Amino acid sequence: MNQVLSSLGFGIVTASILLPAAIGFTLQFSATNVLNIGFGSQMTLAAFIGYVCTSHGVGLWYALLLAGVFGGVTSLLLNRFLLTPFMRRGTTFFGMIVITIALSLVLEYTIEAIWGPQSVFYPLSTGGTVHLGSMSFTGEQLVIIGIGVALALATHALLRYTRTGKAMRAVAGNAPLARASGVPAQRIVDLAWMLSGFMGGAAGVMLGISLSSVSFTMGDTLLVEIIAAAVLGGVGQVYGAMLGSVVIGVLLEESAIVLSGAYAPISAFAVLIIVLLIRPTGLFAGTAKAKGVAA
Amino acid sequence: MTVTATEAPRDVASHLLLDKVTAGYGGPPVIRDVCIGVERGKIAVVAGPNGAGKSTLVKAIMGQLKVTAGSVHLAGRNITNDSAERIARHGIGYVPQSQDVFEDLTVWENLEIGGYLLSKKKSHQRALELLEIFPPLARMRHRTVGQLSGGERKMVAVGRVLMLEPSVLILDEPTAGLSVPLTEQLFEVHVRALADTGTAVLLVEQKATEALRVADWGYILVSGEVEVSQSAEGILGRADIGEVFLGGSSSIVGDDDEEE
Repeated sequence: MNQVLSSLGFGIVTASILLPAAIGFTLQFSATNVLNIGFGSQMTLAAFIGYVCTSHGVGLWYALLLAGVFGGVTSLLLNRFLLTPFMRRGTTFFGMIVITIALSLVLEYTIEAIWGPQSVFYPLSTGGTVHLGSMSFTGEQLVIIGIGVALALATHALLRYTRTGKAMRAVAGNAPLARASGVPAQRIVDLAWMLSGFMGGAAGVMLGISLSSVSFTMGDTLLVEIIAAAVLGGVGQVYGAMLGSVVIGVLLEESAIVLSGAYAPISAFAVLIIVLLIRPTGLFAGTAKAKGVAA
Repeated sequence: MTVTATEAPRDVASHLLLDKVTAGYGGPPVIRDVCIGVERGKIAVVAGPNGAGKSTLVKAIMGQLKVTAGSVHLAGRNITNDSAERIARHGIGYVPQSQDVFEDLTVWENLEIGGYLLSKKKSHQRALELLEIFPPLARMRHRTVGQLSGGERKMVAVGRVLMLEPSVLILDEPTAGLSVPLTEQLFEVHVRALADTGTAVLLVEQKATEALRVADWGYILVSGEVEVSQSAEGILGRADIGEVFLGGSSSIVGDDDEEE
């Protein structure tokens, strides 16, 4: 029981990292219908930018903010100047996936070329831990949980209560109709990609803090977990992605009790396969189905 | 809107005017030399069999398809090939044949998106006005549109487009999937009322008999060209036209998409 509870603590931390990552991934997909395999590498790149900041004396949390901004700007540029031109030429859904796989590889090996194959380390405080029953958290882990939850709540508030957020949902659901209603769709899409890049960048640094180190392949494992969370919730469904993140995050850490830690990512794959078998449209069926992506 | 009814005398050129419009999907043109006009306060119907180019015509007006020759004018201003967003700003409201609502949004949010170009306060006021015009919508304002029936969705679609008080309203096959009573209600109550407030209404219908009954003028499109341009009454009175141009009088409403 104690083990289950203490793993739950890790699960909450992992879920808090997955939250912004899966939200970002889903926002991109719902805005432009691009399943961006490069998302994991973009997160890694932002995490390295965070490392560069800390090694120049920037505080850890400011570094996280800067990495988020960097992630947002690169995401916007990538969509505008790489992906959109292909979309305009009528590249198919699967063609776009191949392009993002290429992007992912280019980014990853660029990172390796610059910072080398070894992990780099974030300067973490050696402060004490906070105990909650059999769960224990470091101060940094508590902040990570706070940031993850805050980003999810902020996304909710944006999409529900602001004009821009509603326009984002409208463009995601039916772009031509949004345009015919006078919504500047291109600007809304730009904003969605910027936001998703910010989320991804922040999540990259959060993962780096959680692991205390960052390596050039960090994004690969994470991408599987993000996709599992997104698919579980129904691809393109932001609220589904939030629920999916919590489920996958907790499941990953709990499964580490049975499987040895190194094999824990298998459970993300397992969930992905089971969901695709049983309910390919995810828990929150909707956009994905309408876009003809899932069965 | 750009021009009020009093500034546009009846005998002057139409409010919305298509002058020899040619358009298509990159291959040979689907519509050729189409001349169509609608005045403010009037209802014009564009009818014609499946594949005649009705949807192409609408998309060409709405900036979703390139006009390769000819021009589109609104209140005397050339709006040919303007972007869809600008055309909305000019005051043309468009209800597409299908996918005419934001399914994941609530009724109220659909109206809000319709009023995206308005100030927040104005948009709120206008949405309340529309809930008065369409009382059933008021009761379901917080429901997600994807869960509504066909008739209710069409009401949302029309309400959304009226948010900007367009000077031109284009309805593409609005009755596809609607019951006969709903069709009659849509045409005889809502569309007529809109025209009476000075809106120029362009109705695109495959089975156009009901539409022609409320309309002032009718155009019949065949193979991408205007075959007939006559008063609605005149068209309804023609003995030869029912079967050939209006697709017969069978009760099944053709709601399948056109040439695309």
